[in-house]
Amino acid sequence: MLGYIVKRLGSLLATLLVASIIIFVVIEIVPGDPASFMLGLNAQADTVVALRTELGLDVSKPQRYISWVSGMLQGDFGQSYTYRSPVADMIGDRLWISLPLALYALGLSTLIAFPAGIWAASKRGRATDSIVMGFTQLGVAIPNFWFALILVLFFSIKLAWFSAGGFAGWEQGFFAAMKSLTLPAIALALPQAAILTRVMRSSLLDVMGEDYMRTARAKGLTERQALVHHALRNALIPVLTIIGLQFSFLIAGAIIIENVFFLPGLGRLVFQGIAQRDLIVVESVVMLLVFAVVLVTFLVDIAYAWVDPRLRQGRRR
Amino acid sequence: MSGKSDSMLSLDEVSLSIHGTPILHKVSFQLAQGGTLGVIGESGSGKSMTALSIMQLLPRGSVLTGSIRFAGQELTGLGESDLCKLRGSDIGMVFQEPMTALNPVKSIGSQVSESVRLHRDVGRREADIVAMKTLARAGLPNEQFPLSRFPHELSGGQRQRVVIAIAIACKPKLLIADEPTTALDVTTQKGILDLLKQLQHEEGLGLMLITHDLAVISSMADDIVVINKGRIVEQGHMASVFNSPEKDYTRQLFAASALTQVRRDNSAHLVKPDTKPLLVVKNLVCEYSTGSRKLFAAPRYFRAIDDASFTIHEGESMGLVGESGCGKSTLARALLGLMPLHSGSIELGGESVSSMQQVSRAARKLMQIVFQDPYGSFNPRHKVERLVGEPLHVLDEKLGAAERSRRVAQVLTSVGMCSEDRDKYIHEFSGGQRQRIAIARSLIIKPGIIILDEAVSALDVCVRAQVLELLDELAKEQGLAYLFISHDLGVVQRVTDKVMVMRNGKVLEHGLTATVFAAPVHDYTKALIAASPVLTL
Amino acid sequence: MKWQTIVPGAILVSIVIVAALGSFLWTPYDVADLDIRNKMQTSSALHWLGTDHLGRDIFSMLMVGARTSIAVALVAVGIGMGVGVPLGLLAAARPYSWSDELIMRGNDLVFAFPALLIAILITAVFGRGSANAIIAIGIFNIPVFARLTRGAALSVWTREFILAARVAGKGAFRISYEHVLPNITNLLIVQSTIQFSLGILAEAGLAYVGLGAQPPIPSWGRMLAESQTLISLAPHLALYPGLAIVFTVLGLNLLGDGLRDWLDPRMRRER
Repeated sequence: MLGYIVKRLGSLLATLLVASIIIFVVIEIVPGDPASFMLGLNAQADTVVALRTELGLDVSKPQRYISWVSGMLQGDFGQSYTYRSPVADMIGDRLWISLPLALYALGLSTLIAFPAGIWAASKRGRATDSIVMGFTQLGVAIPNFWFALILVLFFSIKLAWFSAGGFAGWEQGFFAAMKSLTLPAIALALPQAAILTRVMRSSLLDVMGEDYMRTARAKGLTERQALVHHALRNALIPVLTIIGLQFSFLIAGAIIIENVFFLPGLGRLVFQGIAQRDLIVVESVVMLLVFAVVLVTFLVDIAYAWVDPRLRQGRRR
Repeated sequence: MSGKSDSMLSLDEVSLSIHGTPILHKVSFQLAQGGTLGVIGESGSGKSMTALSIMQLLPRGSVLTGSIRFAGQELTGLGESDLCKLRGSDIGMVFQEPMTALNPVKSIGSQVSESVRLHRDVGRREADIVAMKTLARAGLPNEQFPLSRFPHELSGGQRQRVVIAIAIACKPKLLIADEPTTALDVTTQKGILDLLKQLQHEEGLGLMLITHDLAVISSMADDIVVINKGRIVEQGHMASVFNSPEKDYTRQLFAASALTQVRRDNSAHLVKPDTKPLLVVKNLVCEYSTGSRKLFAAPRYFRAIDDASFTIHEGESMGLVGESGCGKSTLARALLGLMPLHSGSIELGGESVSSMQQVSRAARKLMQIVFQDPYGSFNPRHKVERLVGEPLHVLDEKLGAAERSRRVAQVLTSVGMCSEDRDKYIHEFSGGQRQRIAIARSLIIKPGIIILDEAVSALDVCVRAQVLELLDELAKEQGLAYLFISHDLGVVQRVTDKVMVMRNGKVLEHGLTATVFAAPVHDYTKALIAASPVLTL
Repeated sequence: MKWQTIVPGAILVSIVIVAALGSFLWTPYDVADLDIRNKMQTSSALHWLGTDHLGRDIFSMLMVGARTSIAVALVAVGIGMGVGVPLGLLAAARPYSWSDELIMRGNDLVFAFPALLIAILITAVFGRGSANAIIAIGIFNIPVFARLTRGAALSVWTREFILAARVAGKGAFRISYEHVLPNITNLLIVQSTIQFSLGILAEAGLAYVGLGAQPPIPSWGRMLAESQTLISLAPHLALYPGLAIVFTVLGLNLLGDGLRDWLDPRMRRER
């Protein structure tokens, strides 16, 4: 088991390393001179020079890369050019919005998808199954930001149960904050729940056709007992994969959703950074988001080994 | 046969249809207390469905009529919860595929004790103790096989023992075994069959043994039921059905199993002095790397073929026997240049070659191969003409389309198919027909040697006999030599002139078939021959 | 079951394609026509789906917007398949070799960047527009097809008819083309409909945040963005473009599901 974890950790670090290099190259090198890029075409020569020194652009590229990475490892994400404040602080504030939102959405979607998928699989071929499948087809086709708009139209404007946007702030208390995250989380969770339901259902159906289910029934287990004690755990394995993969879509979705609800999260930060040509901010936030995705993949891999003992010895499948 | 009143299990006019398709028709037979009933039939005969009907574990859309009585109780019409009480505790079942019969994410101990906890009102600890005892009785001692083992850590035979342990944990009265050893090696098979016999003896278990292998039944069963296309053809005591079968189908089945049609005369075979050696293999070694255990250690190597040497002459049929993993298929691939050679040489038609590339070019003009799986050995997307004509790629001269078509037609007729078949797709043919087409494919470039890699192992007994007859005729007509690879000693004994026994990559024994089988020298050969079920009474 | 999905799916998709192609020939109104006096009207005989805040006819905008969505998604799938499938075949032909490892690591790397992030990176540096949206979505499609192809091809390589081809002396390249590819085509077809529908969603998302097609090219996503501030006054502005997206994606998914059911049992019958 340890060997497996070490291998996966190595893979994680390697991916992060290469990703950071790519981000660095794209942001700092491709546009030519970052300083003039940031200041735009009409900048005066001396401003550009001043900025170059400030950004430390006079040292070589590999050196800049190393100081960037080592800075990040120590928690120093540089200074935002536009706001003149440490990027780390800005990220810190925003993180406490984006992260809970993502987790909230993940929790909601799993809470809906698991029972729905199991139910549909157990009633395969019958009306319930078709209805659930119909809903998931619809759920997958609905863009989450459009669903968000519809939710706002209904629940904020027509019914006034929720505010149409903005974040209450954690100082107002846990529930107030979560309330302002509820509509966004639901909007995010919908397509995820639809996908997960389908995966859960098809994974269960695959498992139910396996030979060991026949052995279980021959032992005297009822269909339900066999499903719960034997099928579920095996069915979880592909579902875990999908959750891991979907996480990156979740992050992408969260960025967009924040736009709909005017939530001051990481997504807004990135867009503002682009609009203001503040490369340092963009660089750091993108790196952070990639890190989140890779971390989740790693955790999913670990969860695999916990669920499936065949992987613990690190054998080649 | 015992009368209905004292039989433990009796089926009376049981008919089954699934989604309207009739599967079983008025099947009736009995099994006495503590007796062994053998059910024999070919694939698709309905024998497995009979077993599932008893357990009432039929797929959706099944309609079952007739009566199934077990220990005085009528099973048809019984509610699901009552059936669940019977399954696993009064009736146990063992299935065919041990590799997939166990839940891979649960330990073997939990799977056995689950059976106990389901039917007996005991706590976890007690159930575990019973599980340990049962596993030990099934031949898996606790020191080597603790309850915490997982299925993937066990071999096929060991997994089957776990399945048997699960089935007998609650001391059932009846054990139904559906092809329990078909997927296992000969020696492993003997172990499992011995275990079943022993359990029967000790517990007074009734055993219903379903198989297509007549030799297995002849060694295990008191009574026999012959089933074909969902109907019982014949039934009775083993001895009487065997010695005087009444129905044609039964006769046909027995004859095919005994391979009485095969006319190869291997008793008088001697290598005539002027017969050319076609293939001479000297000290062949093939290895492949299995990756490194530790991060920085050198990769380990596995010797798939360890110093093999043999010769095949023109017109000779050489058998190659061994259990799975012994290297026989690897040898076939090495001969065809599909595996790199580590050391040693292969002489083909006089030319000596020692690297994989050289081997492949020389080999393919001289040797062709017929594979085991009649379903997997053809690309489902190509027509038969293209499939059979594929080896023509090997020839130096490029042939036009008309010529190719002509040759394909010719070779198809020589294996008993029609020339029109070349325009069809492979899925339109049965298993036996596909193997004929596979043989046609191997003949098209007029090779000297055909390698038959378990080519008849996946076929039904009657079809197998026909294909072996065909091979016999072709050998006589065209002077073909064969390398006949098989795990089935009975077939090899009938069909080959010489034989080699392989184990762990080494050729342990070789010589004339008649000699080796009559007086084996090596212990392993002796064990193999002893373990093979023989068709006698 | 399969006809229940293929037929409606095909119908929906055809409607959208016809609308998109038809828009080259005719739309009820020109999308550049601004009719401020008649702005923000709901459905009427003159404007079937009403007008937006600048007086443009929504129905016409949807038709022209269909072009953008389809074009972007289609080219992106093309990029994904054109690069991904050969990579996957190459990886499967030499499994566990350095080229295979390289391709798989590359896949993992791209998967670490959500499509939106790739688009953000590209647009931050190279500017906004449809072309960059296509590149971003296309880049994300490559590992999807590469991974799928590699997995499916690997299982085809283990089948015995491949051995038969090798015995006939054919090399890996020829075998990949003659034997492997035809046997994974079904899978690829189904996956491309899925990726197509994902592409439509992705394009809409990018357009919504302003990273997709730029004005004056109409785009469903941007129509949604523009409708947001006016949503309480004119909800239909948000409704129709969204429904158009749902319509298209649903149609593609149904088609894909139906195709999968149709193509699979045929392969199973071949056993």
